Parts: sequence; structure tokens; C-alpha cells
Amino acid sequence: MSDSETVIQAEQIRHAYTPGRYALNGLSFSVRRGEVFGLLGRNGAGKSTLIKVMTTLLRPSEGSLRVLGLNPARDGRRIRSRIGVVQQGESFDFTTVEGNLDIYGVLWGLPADERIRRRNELIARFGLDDLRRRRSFDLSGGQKRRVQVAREFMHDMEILFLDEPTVGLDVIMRRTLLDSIRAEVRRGLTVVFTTHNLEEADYLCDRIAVVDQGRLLALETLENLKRLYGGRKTIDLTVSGTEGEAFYRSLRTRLGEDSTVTVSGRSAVILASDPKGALAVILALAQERGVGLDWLNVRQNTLEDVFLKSVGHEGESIGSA
Amino acid sequence: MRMGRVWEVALKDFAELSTNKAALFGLIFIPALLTLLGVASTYMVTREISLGHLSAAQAPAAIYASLLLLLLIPTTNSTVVGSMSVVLEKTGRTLEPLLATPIRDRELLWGKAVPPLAIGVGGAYLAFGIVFLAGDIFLASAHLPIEFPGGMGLFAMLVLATLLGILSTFVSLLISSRSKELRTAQWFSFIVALPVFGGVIAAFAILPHSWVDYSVAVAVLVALTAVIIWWTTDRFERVTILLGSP
Repeated sequence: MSDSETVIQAEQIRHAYTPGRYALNGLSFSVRRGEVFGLLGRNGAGKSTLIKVMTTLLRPSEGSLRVLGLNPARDGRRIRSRIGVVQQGESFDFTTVEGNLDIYGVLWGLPADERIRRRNELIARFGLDDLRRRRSFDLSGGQKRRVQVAREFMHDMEILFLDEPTVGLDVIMRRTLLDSIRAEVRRGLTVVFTTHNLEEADYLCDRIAVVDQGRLLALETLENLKRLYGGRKTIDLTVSGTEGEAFYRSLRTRLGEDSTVTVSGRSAVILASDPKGALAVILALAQERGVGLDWLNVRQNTLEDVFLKSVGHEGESIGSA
Repeated sequence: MRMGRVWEVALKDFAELSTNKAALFGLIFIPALLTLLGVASTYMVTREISLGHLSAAQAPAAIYASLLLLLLIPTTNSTVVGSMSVVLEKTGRTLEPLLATPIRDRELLWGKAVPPLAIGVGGAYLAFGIVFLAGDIFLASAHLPIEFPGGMGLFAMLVLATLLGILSTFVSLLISSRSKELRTAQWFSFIVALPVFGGVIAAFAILPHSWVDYSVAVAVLVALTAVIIWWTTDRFERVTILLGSP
């Protein structure tokens, strides 16, 4: 390994499902031992493909990748025996919860007594006691997710890859799951985590990579990402009537390139480096056009604003990889 | 190769198959129909001999002709189950979590091979057992001076059934692992499996019925099966399974 603390090292990796159309397009990054590394991006951004490449399910078409110091193309099985992967699909739907955990014990070659000990411990830790004899097929989406995460802990691992693990979970269950992941991170586990949910990325991740169209748009610590936009504030605005589109078109022109206007119907999110000036422009334009304002709010930037800004400008990098 | 892993994959596939009612119907209906036809054929042969329409010397050929039809069971059942096996998991995205574990490609392949083999070859054994038993009963009750093909005849048929089952299983698994949708997998699997079945039938219909001819035919089938197993094992790789590339 180039650095003893680096567990994943990617250099200009590209992957094309069909020739010339890259799902991953020149990604370079590294993941350090013991950190929670978030992959943030909209649907089709390349997050799941990246997870598949890192977990040896797909080979990069170009570039170099080392996972735990090993080459995935040559040492796939050695890598897989040292990682855990929670994916969006489910493999053992027709087995009981208990059976699911047992299977993972068998797949990782645990002796029977150790398997039973770990299984019982995980069933208790993940609150699955009432469900242990039910088939995964009959569980709710959230309960299934808990089983999927719990069974990964049947074996020892150095990196846990989580591909949108909280999809379908209610708020309480989501927080329980994130807390149990946090607890494992405190014990030294490295986590690579993809999500659409910016709040949970904010809650869990040490560093966040924003991916769009297979490219890395930003890679920073959460604090740095927010600091990059620290001088800016966000204005939430909703106009009344049907003039929204024309109003926002004029607003964009008047605010210029210093501000970003993301429109959704009658509402818009405006990232402004000069919020006072932007407010004056908004009010003047509304008065001039006779447009009523249903909602106007000025607030500090959130991760969501950073995300919108980064993916809104195709190819523009806002951090250092 | 760890047998525990192979067995877990097989159990998982059996569990999934048990919930697929349409597939189960086909897997039971065709063998049941063929078994019924086999029993009816042996009854008809016995009756024709009793009525003097067929000589005792013609009886073995007539009986074997009806038995050969039962070889469709390992061919069709193993092909149906094998061709569904990988491609349905790919389209349902249920294979990826399993592929991300330390399971070896070979363990996955053999685990996937167990259900089509058990259903195809096991079904054929059962069908042959029923038809042989019925044949013995018909001939014995008619007090005819001929014997239904005995232990060696049954053994010869079971060897053929086993080889056809293995061949169909591995061909269909290889095709299923390279296909992106079920219909393609089934279509191409049958395109390969049915001519092999036809070849076996033709060989035994044309060749004189001697053990030497039988041994040559079986040796050819064994060689073909070995090549298919080797080829499938060589080409069954998790990376290409997910991409479904040829």
C-alpha cells in the first residue's frame, strides 16, 4: 500500500458498460482507514458502479485501483474475504432471519459454535429477536435492511461498503442503523457509503465525494465543503401566481454569475454570495412585475445546497480530490 | 471447494424455485405426462404381443423406443431450471450480494448446478423406475415368454439420463450466466440441448442394440459432457456474469 493508512487508492479509474460510454470517468481518490467516506450523487451518477468496482464485482476498464493494498483484478477473493457489502438487492429472501445470518457465517467459513454465538449476539444488537424465525421475504423494507446490515457483521472485516442502506427505513430505524454503523467505526471499521440523503451523509461521513456523470465534482471533509460556501447564504423563495418561470428567468439575469438559482415550479433556491444585494434585487423585481411573494427565507448553507451547486454545474470541480 | 457454500447456494435456489408455481407446474407436468406415456406404451407392447400382432423378437426394440422418450425429462427439466438459475437473479439484482462474498466462482457454479441436476436427473430416475416396474407387472401378468429389459437395461437408461442431465445443466447455466433476459437464456439453452437429445435418440434408434454400440455412444456423450463442464467452469466468472457479455 502506498500509505499504511490508505485502504482504497483509485487513480483515474474509468468503467464503460458499453464502449465509449463511461459510467465512471477518470475518478481519483483515496480512502483512509477508519473513516466514513460518503459518495453522494443523484440517480445514475455512477455511485453503485463505483461500489461494484471497489468490491471486485466489476473491473475498471482503465486506471489503477488498490483495495487493502491488493489488486481487485488479481486478488478479488482475498479482498472479498476482508470486506462487507450491503447492496440494494437481496440474495436470501426465502430464508429466515436466523438462516440469513447463518448463511453468511458459512460463506465466511466460521465454525458452528462461533456462528451461533455471533448470530445470537447480532440478533440482540440489531433488535431482530421477534423476527428471527420469519422469512426475509415477509419482512418490511426496513426490517430487511436491518438483516442485511446485521449479517455483514457475522464476519470480521476492514471495510464495509453500504449502497444506500437506509432506503425504505423510517426515521427511527434510520437513526438506529446509522448509530450502529458509527459504533463500528469507533471500533476501527472503515465505511464507504452511498446515499441520496444529505442529512445522513452530514450525520455520518468524515469526507464526502460528490459524483455526477461518472466524474468526481468534489471531495472534501464536510467542514471544508461547507466552508467553501461559507461566505454564501441560501435564499428560499416561492412566488405566487403563474409568472414564476418568467420571474426566475429575469432574476437569473439580474443576479448574474455570482448567484445560483435552482428552480422547481413556483419555488427556487438561490445561493448568493451577497444575500443583502440579492434580496434587494428580488424585492425590486417582484414589485416591478407585480408578482407576490408567498415565502422568502434566508438561511445558512446546508450540504444540500452544496450538492445542488456542485451537480448543477456540470464538470466544475469545487474541491480538491 | 467448500461443500457448505455449494449447499447454501443450492438450498437458496431450491427455496426460490419452490415459490415459482408456473415453473413447478411445468417441471411436474411434463415428466408426469411422459411417465404416463411410457407406462401406456409398455402396456400396448404387451397387449400387441399377447394378440400376436408383434413378435417376441420385436418386443425389446419396441419397449426401448418408448423408454428413450423418457430421456426428455433430464433434458427439458435441467434446461428449464438451469437457464432460469442465473439470469433471473441478474434481472432481480439478487445475485450481487452473493457475488460480493468470498464464495468462489466454482462453488457458485456447482451450487447452481445442484437444483437442475436433482430435478432433471432425479425426475428421470423416478420415471424410469415407475415404467420398469409397470413393464415387469404387465409382462408377468400376461405370462409372455419375454422379459422386460432388466437391471442392465435400467442401468443403461439411467446412465444416459444422468449424462443428458449434466450436459443440459451446464450448457444452460453457461448460457444463463451470459444472458440478459430469461427468454434468450431458455431459447439458446434449448437450441443446444435438444439436438443433443435428438442425437442420442437417433443413435439408439439406428444402431443395432449391442453393448459395444451402447458403450461407444456413451463414451461420446461422456466426452461431450466433460468438455461442456470444463468450458462452463472456465467461463463462469463473476465479472462476466454481471455484465452478461458473450
